[in-house]
Amino acid sequence: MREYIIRRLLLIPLIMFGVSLLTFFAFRVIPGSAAEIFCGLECTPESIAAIKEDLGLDEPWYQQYGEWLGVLPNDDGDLNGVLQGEFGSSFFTRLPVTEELQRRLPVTLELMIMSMFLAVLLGIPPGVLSAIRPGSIIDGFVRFVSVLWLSIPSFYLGILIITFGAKWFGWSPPNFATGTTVRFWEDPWVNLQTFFWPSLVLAVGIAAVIMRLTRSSMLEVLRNDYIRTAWSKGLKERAVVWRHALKNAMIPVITIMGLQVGALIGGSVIIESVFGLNGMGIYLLESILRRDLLVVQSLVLIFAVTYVIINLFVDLTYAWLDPRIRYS
Amino acid sequence: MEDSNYWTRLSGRRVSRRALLGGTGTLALGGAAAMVVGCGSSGGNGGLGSGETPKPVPSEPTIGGTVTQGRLLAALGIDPHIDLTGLDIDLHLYPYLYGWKPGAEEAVFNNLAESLEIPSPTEFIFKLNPGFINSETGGGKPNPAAGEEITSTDVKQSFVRRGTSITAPDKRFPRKIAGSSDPGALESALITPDPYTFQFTMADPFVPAVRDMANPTWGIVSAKVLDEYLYLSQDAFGAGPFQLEEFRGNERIVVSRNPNYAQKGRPRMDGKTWIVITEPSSLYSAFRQGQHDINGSVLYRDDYDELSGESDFRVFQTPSLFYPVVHLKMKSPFDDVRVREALNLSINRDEIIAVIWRGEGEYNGPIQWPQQKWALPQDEIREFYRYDPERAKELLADAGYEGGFTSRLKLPKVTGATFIADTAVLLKEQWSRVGINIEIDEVELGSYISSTLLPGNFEMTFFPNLPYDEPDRPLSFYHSLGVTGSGNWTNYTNPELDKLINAQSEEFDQEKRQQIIYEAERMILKEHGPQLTLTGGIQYSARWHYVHLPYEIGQDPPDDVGPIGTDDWTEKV
Repeated sequence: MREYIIRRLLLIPLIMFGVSLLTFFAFRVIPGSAAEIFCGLECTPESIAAIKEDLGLDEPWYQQYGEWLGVLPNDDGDLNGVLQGEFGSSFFTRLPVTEELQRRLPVTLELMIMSMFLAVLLGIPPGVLSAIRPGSIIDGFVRFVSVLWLSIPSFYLGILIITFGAKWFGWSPPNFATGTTVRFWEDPWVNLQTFFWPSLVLAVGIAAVIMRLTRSSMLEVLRNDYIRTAWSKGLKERAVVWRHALKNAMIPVITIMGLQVGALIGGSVIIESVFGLNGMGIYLLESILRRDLLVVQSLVLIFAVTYVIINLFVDLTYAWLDPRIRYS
Repeated sequence: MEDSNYWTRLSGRRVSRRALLGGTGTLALGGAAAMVVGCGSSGGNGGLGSGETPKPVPSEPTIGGTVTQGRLLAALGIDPHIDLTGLDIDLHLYPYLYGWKPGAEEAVFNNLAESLEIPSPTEFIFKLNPGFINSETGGGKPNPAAGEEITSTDVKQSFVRRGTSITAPDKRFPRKIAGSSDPGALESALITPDPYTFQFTMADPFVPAVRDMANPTWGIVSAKVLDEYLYLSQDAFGAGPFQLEEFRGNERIVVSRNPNYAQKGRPRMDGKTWIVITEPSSLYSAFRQGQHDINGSVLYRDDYDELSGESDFRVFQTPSLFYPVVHLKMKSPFDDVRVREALNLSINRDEIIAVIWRGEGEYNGPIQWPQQKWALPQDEIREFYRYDPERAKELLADAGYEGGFTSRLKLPKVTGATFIADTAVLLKEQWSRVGINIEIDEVELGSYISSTLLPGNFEMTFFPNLPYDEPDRPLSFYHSLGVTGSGNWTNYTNPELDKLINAQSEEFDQEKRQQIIYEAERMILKEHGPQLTLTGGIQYSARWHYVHLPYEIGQDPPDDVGPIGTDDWTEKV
């Protein structure tokens, strides 16, 4: 197991290198550059060239990439890149990416964690309930709800909550009034008011997937011989379902939860905008639209690391769920 | 009898009267922001929508308090000479030479300049007001020029920076001062005989200069600040009515009263906060809930009607200066005037007004209809832009396109401006009725500017021009040198029209200028391009009843009002 973890961890830098290289080149291939956007409609070729020089976009690609990565010295002769913990600065605001991350990362992390928590809460128990009572009213209801949740686009649900929350209940997220997001430890109640609804909106789609997968997986497990044995031993339903069946049924569910992190990252882009949360998602979207390359490269890298680590954790969870699984 | 030449009116008065800085949100140069936010001044009519039982207004303005305003677009920066997305904030932080009355098209001297003398059409002599002292801090940092007075040297350095920064917008006026694009020449041309006199002589006359200097991109910044800060994108150190407290351009911007401000008793409020929420419905919801005092979202007719019926709100409507146009590339088939005329005749502008502008709007000619002094009379425009699909088919047949043709219409995807795509779809449908098949290609804004518009990489493109409130810019789109003199996207060239456009920019007599502009507009109409102008609608604004502004967007300000934001007040203190 230890060897497996080490091998997977060693793969991370390689993946990061690949991701950074891909992002770097992708944004140099697509039309439009920060210089042209910066320049606006009043541009001349000379002014674009001058801006590119100012932003360092006139340098050879390997120099730009090397400087950002921190393996080639910058204009001041320093190695000051990702490897040294510096992600560079936005072309437009000139603010260091690390400074933005300090404010935005906690917002997106809280959103993702709370969303996943809610998705599990809303997905697994109904899925189990549905599986142990197939064909019942509960089963029908759960299946209906799961299809409904899958069908509603998250941005639409978000807008509905904002609009009707205001219209019917006189409620709007507290951050709309202040423009800032209160941290959980500063004021838990205000923080929950801010994050609960966007997290729920993000969670429902994932919860529906989890719900359906839990149901099908449970149905399959419940047909196994060892479950029949457990029943015949006279174990109570709770013991059979929760102790013997659920754990084994969770392997595909955990897999899909790991993969859904990508959906959470993608969904956060829209939801942060709807709920006025200044997190990483909206930062990434704005940066992509502005071709703010250093920011995009850095954020994609961070998201990729997060994704890889979460999926490593998922892989390791398999062994805990099913001791027969061995990594070698 | 009123003198028709506003230059001579200006110089004749040796203007010292105070009036208001016009064009709160015009930001003709920062129009992208205004386009989405839906603010923008105009010379047209503003109107007060009243609630069922309007709240009584206190007779005396309250001193103190703060207001919060929503913002749909993030402010990337607040450098007045460079950043276009934060110009409405810059107006609160820096002094400007003077303001502008968009309706009367007059400079108003309620700011740094005490007077302006114009001995000849190219000579400008400003006398500055003393006492414009720099704030102590900006955004929590010490102001490098704290406590120092703004003088003519600061004005000169601000002009040099505004006129030569790479990313500064439209530099035609500073080039007229310098006689070239050489920064050294500009610096030499700006004269400061004493700390309170600033003067220059332009190489050639340029009528739009007077309007230009009142634009929010001409903020006056201390030379010492400019020496210390290469970029003022995230910082602001000014001598304006407010000082910066916090700038997070995509979250919130907070300003507070500048205790050193020159005009005693101003500003009335202790501060102002802008909250950025990039989703229009969320922003509107925050306003409805009272989380914002001034609405910052796009307000539609339905919202306007709803708010009009409630006494808690004050709502206003004003003609929109934004004018969506279709640019045509002057190559086959659009290099044939018959094809262009066919396109024009097959546009049902009444349908656009009915569908896109909810029945409220007018036809736009080459100059937008709210610029009533310069736009051709509406009757004439409507007669020319009649809907005649049968004639359009005949013209197409004459031009060799009996069965119609296929073309591609590129348009930018702009957050919050759904009318762009909506109008494009309607145009596609209208043109299809005469056999012109249009493929719509919606391009993300960043790519659109760089890979479609600037290089002229389009057959047809649909783009909302900015809310210019001076006739020169709308006409410059038809000039061979392009709108800013630096690029002609459509390849349209008409030496006769160029002469007229040049002539109007040098003609100081308003009546004569108007005749030249009319002549140019009529020539453009007959050419049916390279821009097909469509229609313009109404824009709506709203705020809570307890917030009071000295005048409304679209109205000309009263004479005794101070610079932007200084006379706003709130009952909530």
